[in-house]
Amino acid sequence: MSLIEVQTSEIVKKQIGYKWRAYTGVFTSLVVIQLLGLLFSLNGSGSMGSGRTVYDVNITYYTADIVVGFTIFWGFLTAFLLTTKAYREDDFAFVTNRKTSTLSTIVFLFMICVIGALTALLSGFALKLIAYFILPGEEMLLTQGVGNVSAWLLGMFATIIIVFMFSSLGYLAGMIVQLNKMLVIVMPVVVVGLMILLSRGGFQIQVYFFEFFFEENNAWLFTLKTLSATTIFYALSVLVSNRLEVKQ
Amino acid sequence: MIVVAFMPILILLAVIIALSLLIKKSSRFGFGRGKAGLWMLISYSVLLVVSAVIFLAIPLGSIELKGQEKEEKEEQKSQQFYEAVQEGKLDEIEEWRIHEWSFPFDKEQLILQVLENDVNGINIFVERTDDLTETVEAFYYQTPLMINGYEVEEKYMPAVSMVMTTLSIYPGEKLNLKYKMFGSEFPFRLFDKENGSMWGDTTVSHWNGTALYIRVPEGLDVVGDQNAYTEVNPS
Repeated sequence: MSLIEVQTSEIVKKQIGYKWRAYTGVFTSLVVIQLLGLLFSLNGSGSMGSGRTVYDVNITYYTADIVVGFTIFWGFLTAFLLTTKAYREDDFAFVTNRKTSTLSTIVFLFMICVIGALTALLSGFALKLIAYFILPGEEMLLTQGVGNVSAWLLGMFATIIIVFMFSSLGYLAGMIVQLNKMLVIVMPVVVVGLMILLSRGGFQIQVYFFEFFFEENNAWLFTLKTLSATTIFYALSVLVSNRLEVKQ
Repeated sequence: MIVVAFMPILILLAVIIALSLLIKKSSRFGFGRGKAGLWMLISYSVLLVVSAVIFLAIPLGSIELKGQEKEEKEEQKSQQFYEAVQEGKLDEIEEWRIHEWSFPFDKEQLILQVLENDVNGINIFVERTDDLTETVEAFYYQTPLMINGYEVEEKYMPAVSMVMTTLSIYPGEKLNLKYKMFGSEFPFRLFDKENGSMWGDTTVSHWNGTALYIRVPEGLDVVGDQNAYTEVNPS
């Protein structure tokens, strides 16, 4: 037993600093996936064509929706991979226990989710700038602005908590897989199988999931729902991680 | 063809594998390790900030969409438009007149050569009037085509011509309108109550109303497909 008393917050802070410097691969993957998203978005994230006998209207939309979607996926995958043994064992180079290790990982995930969300939204400007300069002369440009600063800030906050929520889902999935490696195959099969079974019974869980979160117009309720789900997913991850063997 | 059908899945798989390799710690790929990843992020962020500044600074020759408020007004106007046409109140639809034709005509029978309404794309109305003698008049009206409050300026024009005793009305040149739209990302649309749910997007929500109003002298025998036009009797 050591005579030096260590504070949890100090250890967590040190571990975050360590993770920030060591896990730079996550930034590379973020940049790569966002550039890929930008590339896909250059073709337009959607187009609408309607025709009547006299008019044929074709609108190509340019938004960074694909980049935001890819970033959400990146958040999920990054959190999933951070639960692998190689990453978790790193923490034992310091004075640690499972609580501080998980806590520092969650804070680190939040930090990178903030970066991911901000760069995803900023990439919208880059996309529009490129699209603007490659616009052929005869095509007209229509814009649909975000509105005021508060709408922009609200959207930014929403993006951050959406990416963070999916990272918590990835973290939970990763932790479950750590219980038994077979689960990496069993879990998707069970989840997809359940979705198919339930949808046959008229209960489309994926539709309810998206409606529950993304069709919520009230910002406060949206925040409450998203943060509650994030907390539940992380709490479940901690419960699952407690079932792992010591230093596993 | 089969390869094309599986392309999205293949791309997604490639992305997942590439990401896993980049993030996975035990991976042998040195790319993104050490400070390289951090520098990559910094350079990328600087690039994004610069593009944001340029985008906000340059005056874009664009049209800001005005949304649904204007559309609702147009929708009401369109309703009034058809009511007025069917009642023959031309003075009420004067603002939408695009073109007019006048043909000298002294025969007793007029043959109306038109395609079906759904092919022709315009609604044809015929009015017999005492005001005209030895003349056939045609007026083309069109209410604006709207895209989320934006009024399309290009106007369609049917091809109307008189040969001997036959008045031919054929579809004019089809107008191909191409637009590029810069929208906001879906998290920004989440709390936008006016535009509905986040999945809602810009569409041509209000199609234009059209009418070709033909005035012929009273007593003139008009021969044509009864389904292709509507007779108007202004009271």
